[in-house]
Parts: sequence; structure tokens; C-alpha cells
Amino acid sequence: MIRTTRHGQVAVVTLDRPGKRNAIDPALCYGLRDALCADADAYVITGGENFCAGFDAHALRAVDEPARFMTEMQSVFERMEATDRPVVAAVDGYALGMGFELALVCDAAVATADATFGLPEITHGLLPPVAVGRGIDVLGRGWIRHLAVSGRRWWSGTEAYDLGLVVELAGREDLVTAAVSLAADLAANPNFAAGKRILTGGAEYAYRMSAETVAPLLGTLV
Amino acid sequence: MDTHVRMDISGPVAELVLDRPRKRNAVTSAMMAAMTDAVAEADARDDIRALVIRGEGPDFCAGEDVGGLRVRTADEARAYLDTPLNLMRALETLPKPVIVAVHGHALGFGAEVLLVADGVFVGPDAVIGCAEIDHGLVPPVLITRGLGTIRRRRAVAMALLGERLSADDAVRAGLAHAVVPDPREAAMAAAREWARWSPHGMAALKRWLALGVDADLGQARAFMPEIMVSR
Repeated sequence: MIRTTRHGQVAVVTLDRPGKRNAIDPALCYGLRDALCADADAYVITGGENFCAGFDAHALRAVDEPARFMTEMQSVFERMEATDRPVVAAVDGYALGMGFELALVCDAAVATADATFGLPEITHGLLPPVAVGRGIDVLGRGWIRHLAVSGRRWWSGTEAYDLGLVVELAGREDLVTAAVSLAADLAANPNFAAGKRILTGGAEYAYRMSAETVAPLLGTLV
Repeated sequence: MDTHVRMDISGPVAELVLDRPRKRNAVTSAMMAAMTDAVAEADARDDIRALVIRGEGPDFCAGEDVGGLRVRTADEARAYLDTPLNLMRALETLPKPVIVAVHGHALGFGAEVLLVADGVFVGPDAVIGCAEIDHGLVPPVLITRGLGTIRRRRAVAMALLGERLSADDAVRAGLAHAVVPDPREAAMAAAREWARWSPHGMAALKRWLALGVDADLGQARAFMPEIMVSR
């Protein structure tokens, strides 16, 4: 489910569930959490052909306590922001829903020009809690509102770059190398940790709201 | 309706139409009050699942028709402000998608109303901006709620320099979401699609997107009277 390789001091964490386009189920969630606790100077999260197509609704139906899984996933996002180390997303293919949120919560994202970003939760009667709770700070309410309410508007990698979600575009072959290089540059900055703490201030509130808002909707999943 | 505002309903979509083309759909207090009533009706009716706003004639909306408004006291200013701010609040807290079709000019109120919409479809000829600065005023929603909604630098340039945005610039700023040849058709198609999403999920999503609206508009209510009286 999760593979970790080392590129110097950078841990490259690969979501590896290609048959499900890396949809996040509990096993992948726990694997990701553990991988981000490994000793490294920086982390890159990537996914091969598709970054991550969201959370796995089928798997969620099979879980005894779906709300608990959502809470566990929130803790992964919290871990990403709480760590002093840089976390960089390398996105090709789909980054939808929770996959979009994963790229959003990283300190930076690199993508291919034809990567696909979107928030389809509402088409299942749900909402994207981290995108709303955190994305408004990053991308503005105007665009978050549109992506979340429409459920059908996709950004290409190029649009995501123009609109501020992605900081660098790279070719498919160079994607991970570019992300590793960016992550190493960030980690080399002696003030990175202090800067990150300032930039992510107030995030706890957003995540707590996330769990509280989504839990009641899980019973009405369509 | 002699208020120059009407609401057409087709299936799950309510279309709120500014119908004062000879004045380029400049909105009066009476028109804004009528729009607020229409939003309340759209909220109350379960058969309505999305709201589209558009204008008749060559322009979407040329701003507020203040018609020689002279405000002498802070109380008069507050009384005047209640109408536009209540309308903005009603739109942002409506638990259903709000979509705006923009062609031609969207100025002043016509630009600010885009800040509370979930979908803004603009024609290639669109010109979007705030003219308040020409009258010694500031756009109350843009410099409060708008700062978290669109690119902050763009909002400041629009509010304090009177900058006008092209259709493409509006998309980059987050004030519009697509440039299309026929904004009304695109808005109606979006409304019909989004009307299919679960009303329960949509209400939860919209409630969360509207967090902070009262605090933000409260800022506008707090500082605007002084500006309006002293201009």
C-alpha cells in the first residue's frame, strides 16, 4: 500500500494502490501516518500514474466506525503540518477529494501540466472538510467554493499552477526528482521549521471543525 | 413587478433577473429589497434547488443607483446600508448553490455580488470593477468579506485604485470561474447539474463556507457610516 524509498536524506513516500487509483482506505491511511514518522530530513508524497483519487467510499462502508477513520485521517493531515520537516507533493494523474486535500496540506506541490485536481465530494452528498477548512487560506474562498459546490470542475496542473495550489510544473519523468530537489532545498533552510510553524498557525481549529462537520454526514453517504 | 426584478422558475432552478436595461440594471434600494425577498422565497421552497442571477440588456449590472443620495448622519448611513448588506448575507447563507451569469459590465454592487456566488460564468467582453472610489466611497463587501474570497492584492487594487478586471483577470483573481461564450446558458446548465446534489450535504457545505460572514459584514457596518457621512 505504501512504499518508502530514500533519495539522500529525503524520504519518498509512494501511495501504491494503483487498481483503486490510490483511493485512501484505512490501511493506506495508517501506512501514510507511519511513513511520515520515519526519520528523514524531508518527505515527498507521490502516487505513480495517479496521485490519489480520494477516499475509498466502498472501504468506508465496510468500516465499523467511519467517523473514527475520518478522525484518523485528520491526524495524518495534522501530522503533515505539525512536523518540522518539509512535506512536498508530487502529483500526476488524479488528485481528487482527499487527494486534492493531501496536496493542499503539503508545504508545496509539484505537478505535471495534465494532472487533474478537483473536489467531487458533494456529488456523494459529502463535503471536503480540509479543502474548506484550510483551502480558503491558501486559495481563497472564491475558488474553493466553486470547486466544492460544483463537484465537477477539474483544474489541470497548469491551472493549479496559475491559481496557486502548485508551485512548480515538471514533466512526468522529472516529477519526483523535481519534488525531491524542492524538498531538499526547503530542508536546507535553517529557518524552515520556524517559518512553517508561523505559516500553519491556526490549523488545529480547521481540522477540529473538519471532523465535527463531516461525521454527521457519513450516515447519509449516497 | 415594477421593481425591475423578477424571478423565473423552471424545474429546480430559480432565475433572479435584473430587468432595468435602460439603466444598465443599476440597482435601487427597492430592487435590492425585492431581491432579498426573492432569495428568502428560494430558501423556503424545497422544489428550488439552485439560484441563478443574471441581467437583461447589454450589461449585467452597472452598480447601485443611489439617485442623489445624501447621508447626513451615521444613523441614516446605517439605515441605507442595511439593504445591500442584508441581501449579501441572504445570498451567502442560502443553503443552495448561487450562480451568476455576467455579460458586459459588472460594476459596484454588480461586482460585489460575485463574491458570494458559488459559480460565476462571464462572457469574454466582461468588465468587472468597483466605481465607489469615484464617489469618495469604498466597496463595503469587497474590503471585508472579499479579502478572504479573492486574491487580496487584486481586491485592494479594485477597492482603492478602482481597477477594472477583464474576464480572464477575474478568473485568475478568483472572482469568476469560467469565461464562456454564453454566460446564461453556462449558468443554467451548472444550476441544473448542481441541483442534483444532496440538499443535506449542500446545506452543510454552504453553512461551512459561510462561516465568518456576520463578523465580516459587521466590519462593513462598523466603518462605512463614517465614510458615507464625511465624503
